[in-house]
Amino acid sequence: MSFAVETYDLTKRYGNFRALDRLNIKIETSRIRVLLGPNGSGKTTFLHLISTVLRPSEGTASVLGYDIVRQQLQVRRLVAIAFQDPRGFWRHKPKHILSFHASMYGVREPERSKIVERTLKEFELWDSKDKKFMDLSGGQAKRLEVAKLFVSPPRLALLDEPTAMVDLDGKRLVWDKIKELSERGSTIIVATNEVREAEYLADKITIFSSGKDVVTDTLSNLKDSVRGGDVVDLEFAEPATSFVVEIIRTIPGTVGIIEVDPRHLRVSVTRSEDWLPIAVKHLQGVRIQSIHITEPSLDDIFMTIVKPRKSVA
Amino acid sequence: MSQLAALVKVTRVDLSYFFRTKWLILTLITLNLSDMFVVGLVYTNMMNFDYFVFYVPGVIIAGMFAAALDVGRRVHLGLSEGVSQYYLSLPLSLNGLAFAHILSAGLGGLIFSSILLVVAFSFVHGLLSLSTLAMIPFMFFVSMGLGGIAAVINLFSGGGDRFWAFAEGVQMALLGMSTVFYPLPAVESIMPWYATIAIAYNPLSQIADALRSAAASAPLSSYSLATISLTSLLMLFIGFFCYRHVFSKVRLLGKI
Repeated sequence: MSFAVETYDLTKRYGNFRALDRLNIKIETSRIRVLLGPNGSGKTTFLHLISTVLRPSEGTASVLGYDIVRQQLQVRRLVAIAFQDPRGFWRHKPKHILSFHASMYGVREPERSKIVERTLKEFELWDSKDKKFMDLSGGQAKRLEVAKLFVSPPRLALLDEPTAMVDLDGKRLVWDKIKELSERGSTIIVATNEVREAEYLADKITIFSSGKDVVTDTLSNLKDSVRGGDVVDLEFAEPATSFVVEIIRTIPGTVGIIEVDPRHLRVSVTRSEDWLPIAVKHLQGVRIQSIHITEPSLDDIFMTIVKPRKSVA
Repeated sequence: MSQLAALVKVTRVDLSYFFRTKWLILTLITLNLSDMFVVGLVYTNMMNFDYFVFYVPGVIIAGMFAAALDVGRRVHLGLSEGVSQYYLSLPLSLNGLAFAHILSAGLGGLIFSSILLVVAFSFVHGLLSLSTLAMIPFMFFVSMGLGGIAAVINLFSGGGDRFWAFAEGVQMALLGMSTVFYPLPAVESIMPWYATIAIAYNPLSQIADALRSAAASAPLSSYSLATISLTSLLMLFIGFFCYRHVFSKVRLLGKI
């Protein structure tokens, strides 16, 4: 297994604040890795560090075999980043912005013009090609930022919240283009706090919190391992007492209980088919209004790891 | 993609801003020209020497200064708006990026001042000569040096809108402490000796006086031309290291 990115105690401090704290992470080549985490969890800092836009405070990283501190230029030749806030030249037109970007990566005319035209059309920006960057809508500017990576596909493409400000159709368009880029051999790292984006794109997901990677795995493994195999939502006619919670906690197969509201408990269980008959037997006399069994969504995993709600067991 | 080619492309982007405000530039050139003709020609008739030949180089140099600083201001905006972070992600070295910004300021100043020179001197018979045109490369050196000053201002002005305030201050000090608008004998009569030396070696004084000599068909002093080149080169290098420091700071702190 070869790795596009390997970090070694990668740390970034701003004064006393540690934006990234001794991160050790490996990202496989030619895969889509999604970094999921709330605002301020260190995702953007990580992308800026491995694209050499920022310099680490401590530690280092190897990007496609090059050191981000000592071999910045070699890294920059192979990596391109679509920033969270579009970084355009305000008075330039989209076609000039893409043309400049392509030329910086050595794409020559007349091929460059053809690629720029094709990319603008693919990202549905052709009708706005003669508008100034400052006159584009937020969604258009964001699509243009992402489109930069397609005029000269890099070996490592970094996308920071690529569909923020983009409408629903636009999101699907950008996601499909990202998958297409991956199929063409690029390694992709996407930072997002949109769970749906992570579910759609990721080969593997790394969850960030407070400048650290909390967990890395495939979506299915995360679902299996983080909080049991299934989620059982129990809704009661009356608020669940501590006695009821205690009964549930003692049922074999109970992994965790989250109080969604006083009448609604979300129970993580290993296997719902084994757990449920025992639970029904133990909870005789308790007025249960409804029982729903679901697989844990990435939302559940994300919320459980990053933002635990009131846990009662 | 060679570093030189990448440097040229960034320079072109910087300069393109200069030309995208073409109506503003045209207005400024027109204002400067009308200033030259009205003040220069009228005062010539009021004085016992050719004030036009004295005054026009002053306006040319002041215009060059303003244009070079304007390109520097665009770089400052880029720093504030995160465009510099985009540049830092591109396959261009820090040295290349720093030099590209100075080069673009130098070219901006040169283009603006050359237009003024050619138009103003063409208007008065005999002033546009080979010796005045031969000054253009030296004007480029000075303009690059002024690009270096823009870098120094970028380093010290930080974020926000302090660039203009700093730029105006530096412009007033450097133009005021020069012979761009006042002849050296007049300065010597009111300034202490050490200030007079600084004024005499100010590259703006040197280039303005060299332009006056060229316009008057007087022989150009090679000492003066060497001083212009060396002092401009010094300003350029200081500016280069200032931009390097600015970009290193952006890489360290994520902002200026």
